Amino acid sequence: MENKLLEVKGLSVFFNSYLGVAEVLDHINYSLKTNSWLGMAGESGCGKTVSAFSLLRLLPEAAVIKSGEILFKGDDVLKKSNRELRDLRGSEISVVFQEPQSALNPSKRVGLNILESIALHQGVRGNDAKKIAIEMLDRVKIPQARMRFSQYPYELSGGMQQRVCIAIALACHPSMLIADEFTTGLDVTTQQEILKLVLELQRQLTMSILFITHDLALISECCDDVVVMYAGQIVEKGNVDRVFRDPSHPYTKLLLNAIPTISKNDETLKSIDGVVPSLINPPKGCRFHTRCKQAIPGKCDVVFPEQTVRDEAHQVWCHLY
Amino acid sequence: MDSMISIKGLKKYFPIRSASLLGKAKRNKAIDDIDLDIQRGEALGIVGESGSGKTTLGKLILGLYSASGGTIKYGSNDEEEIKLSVVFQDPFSSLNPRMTVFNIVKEPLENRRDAKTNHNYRETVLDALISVGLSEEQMFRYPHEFSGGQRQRIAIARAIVSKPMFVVFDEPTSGLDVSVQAQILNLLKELKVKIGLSYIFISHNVGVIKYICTRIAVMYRGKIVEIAENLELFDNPLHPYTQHLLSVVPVINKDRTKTIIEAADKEMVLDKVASSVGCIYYEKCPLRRNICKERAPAKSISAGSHVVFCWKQENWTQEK
Repeated sequence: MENKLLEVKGLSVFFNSYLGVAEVLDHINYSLKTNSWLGMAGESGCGKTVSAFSLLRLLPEAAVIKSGEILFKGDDVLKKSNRELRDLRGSEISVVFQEPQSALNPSKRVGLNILESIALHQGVRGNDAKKIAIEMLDRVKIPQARMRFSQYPYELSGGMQQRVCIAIALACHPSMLIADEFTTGLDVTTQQEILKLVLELQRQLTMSILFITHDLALISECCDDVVVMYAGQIVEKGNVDRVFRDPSHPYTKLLLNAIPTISKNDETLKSIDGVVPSLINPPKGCRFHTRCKQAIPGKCDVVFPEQTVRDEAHQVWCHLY
Repeated sequence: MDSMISIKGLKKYFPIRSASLLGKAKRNKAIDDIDLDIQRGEALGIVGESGSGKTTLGKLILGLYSASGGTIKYGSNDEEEIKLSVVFQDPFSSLNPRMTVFNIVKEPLENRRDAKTNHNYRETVLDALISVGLSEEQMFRYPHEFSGGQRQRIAIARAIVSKPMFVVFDEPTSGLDVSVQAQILNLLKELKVKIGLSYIFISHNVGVIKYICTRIAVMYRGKIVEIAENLELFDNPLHPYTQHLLSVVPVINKDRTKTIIEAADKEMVLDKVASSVGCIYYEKCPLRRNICKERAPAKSISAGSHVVFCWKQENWTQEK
């Protein structure tokens, strides 16, 4: 049996808004293995971030968790008390966000930014805490860690700031890291350095990473498994090699074809017409049918497809199979 | 040669506040001695990391910055007027939220010398909107009613409404989803053919540049280090920086190995003002020699138009 660190079962999340109820997540099932990377892909508005933040129960007030279970190390996160959640957040599951400049407190020195989380979760203060913080800065390969410790975030470049955020996230040795588009604002050269660093640290510290990104190429480079989401539903998931070698859902195929890469010499990119539909009264059946060229009338717009097993490590939800 | 814009020895220095009052003022060389000819009908890509001076170059061409040195000549003779236009990265901050789409797109027309009456604008604006795939009924809506991709279409309509000959696209797709990015890129390709647009396309995304551009200039710390036709650059990158840049671009790897782990470790270099002598890439270059530190590399031309600034190219083979 595979060792599952996290298992999400039938999770549905609704958002109440003045326009109506938005069905942001619709019966999501996925799991994250111990010591591995899971990539979560899809356009913006597909529910990637919401599905990650419901793991920490960090959802806006308007959100209602309708149904489902989130099993982290066997315990249901949704049944935890606030106190138990506080122990979970930061020390068991950590997050790195997209914009490091807004994630760091600009009025506090880099050191204080890190010390805060060490004091909060490990109860360590003073010189001991400082030692841990500097060790973490070394670990994320920030040169001259002592000097950087007493600088302000604005004195660091974007890549360096993101390293500090990673240091904060990993200071308490979490067993899971949510990386939400954490390389999106960075240059390709910096992006590669940061990903390499996180890959190394992940192996050293044996943790699991949930990597949310819209860049499928990044998922193919560093993840073990992938989940493709569309408008709050999972349309395809499985082992990265299998999914990218044999993309089965029309949405996954289109997403892969829409990326201009340096290895292709295409004349025209295949774009996906239209936009992600509003999740208030979303399309019935498979939510992608409104943009799908292969949609079968009377079938795709009526009922959401059953799971089709392409092989033991690759599943797709589509009426074409 | 029929160049539309020709740039010679262009420089742009920004002052850096010096630590001591009497200390010598330092300058950040955002653009340092760039020569560039942009041909008619060309889609020139400018690629490089942030801080390499891509946007500064775009702004200099648009006249939004005044140059610290060098010249930019527009058109083949003095009488010719080249109409310029621009599309910025963020379609949320580049459109005035209090103006309707019609007013936004109309604005460049009013500022032209050959301004028309209000009645005639309508058709011109509508033409521009239709050519970017928007419809008449959307003309009197406000920007907040549109998605990111549609807003970028509005920004493009505004850029092309005055029939410019040349447009600067500064990272126009960086904030968009891949599917929407593909729509916008296809639109730009179509417009290039349909209305004969020439443009420079600034981006740090090498894949996008490859898809949209006919010729590509690679910038590093204020200098162009290599410039070549699209296919030539990707088939035969000569400058060590270009080679590094192309090697770190993530690709969908069907026979996957964790390429990131395997990539060679680069020593990290702190950002500082580049030295005035020698090659700007010296500190990070895996092929550096002594000469690279002492003298700025000379221009080498190969394969007709493939220009590279690197000492490596001069009858020198890699030595240990």
